[in-house]
Amino acid sequence: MTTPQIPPEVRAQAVDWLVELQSELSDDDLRLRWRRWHDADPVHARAWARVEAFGDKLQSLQPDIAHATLNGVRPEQRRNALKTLAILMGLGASAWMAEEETPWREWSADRRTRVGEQAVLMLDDGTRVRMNADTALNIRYTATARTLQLLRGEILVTTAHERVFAGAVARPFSVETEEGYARALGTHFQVRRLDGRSVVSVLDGAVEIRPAGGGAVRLDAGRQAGFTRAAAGAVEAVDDAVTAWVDGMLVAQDMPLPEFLAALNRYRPGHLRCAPSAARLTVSGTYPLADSDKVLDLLQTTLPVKVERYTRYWVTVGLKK
Amino acid sequence: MLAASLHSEQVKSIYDAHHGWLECWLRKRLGNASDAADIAQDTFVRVLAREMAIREPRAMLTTIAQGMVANFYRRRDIELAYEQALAAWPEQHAMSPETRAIMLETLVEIDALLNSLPPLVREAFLLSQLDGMGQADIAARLGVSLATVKRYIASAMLQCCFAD
Repeated sequence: MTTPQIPPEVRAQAVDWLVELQSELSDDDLRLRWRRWHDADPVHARAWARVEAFGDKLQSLQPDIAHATLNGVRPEQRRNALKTLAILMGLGASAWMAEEETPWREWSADRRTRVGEQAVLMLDDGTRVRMNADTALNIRYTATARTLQLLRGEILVTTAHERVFAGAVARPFSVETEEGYARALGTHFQVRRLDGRSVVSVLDGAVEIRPAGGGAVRLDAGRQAGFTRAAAGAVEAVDDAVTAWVDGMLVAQDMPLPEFLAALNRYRPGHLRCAPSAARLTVSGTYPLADSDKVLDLLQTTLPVKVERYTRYWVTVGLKK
Repeated sequence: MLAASLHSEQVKSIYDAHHGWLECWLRKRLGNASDAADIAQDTFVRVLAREMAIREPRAMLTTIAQGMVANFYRRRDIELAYEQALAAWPEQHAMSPETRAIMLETLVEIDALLNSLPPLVREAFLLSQLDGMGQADIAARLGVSLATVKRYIASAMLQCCFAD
């Protein structure tokens, strides 16, 4: 290796520039900014050359034939991942079971839950992952490591002890977020990502968290801590309510109304807004997530608020006049 | 380099012990001796390229060979789809055999790159990069937001441009 690898963030920047340059809003100003980025660092130019090389390849194709050919083959993607990944959807709609077990597994899959949808994943090592609504997760299992990348939302993980074959070493299990990673030393924990912060709550066993730019902190059962890229926050006791979503409940204890509405919004499509006038109110109680309209109605009876619905998709909660 | 030569020693002994068995295994799946021999060879080349200790040779060989068999069938599907697309194209005669062959290779390569992507991401990518459809039109067609279309295209591009 004579030239170093192009770092992932530069790769992402290069394709983002391409997408922007191809967009309808592309103009001279954008081109100028792209040019500045391109010239700012030889690595940027190298990344861009890769994008252009692929563009040249596409140019050589006859579009109609290429599209017809690529659409003419069965979309096979995901089938391999699903073979080893049994997914039980929120309402138990369907499941794919492992077809064949091999001791040498390497695969990846991406899973998303929509607003209002939860899912349970059974990974092929026996690990169970419950995904809350509006959650994005990448699963990366390689020969040496088991990694979940949590991009957004919340997961509850129950790791399995990996069966170990003839002298092989069990692969470490960890959850990565933008802010850092949590390495499982034990079995049962939750990771949540919200607004540039990750929170790990350990229900059983132990987890080591390591912010991207900070030292590791060990969390034992019953403890939780949040962390940003820079550092981990204080270790505190796990609040019983953190896993209430598993039972379809939202449990609030003096929760600021805007935060409560943001949590509820993950279970209903559209925009749920808190008017500034009501932002200082707090909510307590246990609410069923399945019927968010009912929760909103309930709020009107327990708080001095009025819920204004413009459509089902545009709801504002403000102070009652 | 000591580790590498140890590895090739190990591959050689696995080759001697398991090559015949693997070819037989492949022949049963493919129903064709020469394809089986090719894929068996390719499988060992792949094992040689992965510099890692081999503890369960048969499990590893079958895992790799299975992937290769899938690729083999995949390629055949693409060839078929390509032939059909060509047949439906009025100007097919204007294309030289070389151009046709190069285009097929490129399509096989792109298909493999797009293989791990979800269907919508793949479709957004094809519509924008092959058909030149605008991002707003793609958003309308796929029923997703413009920001999502951009994210789809970017993730497919990332996969295609930087596959190592």
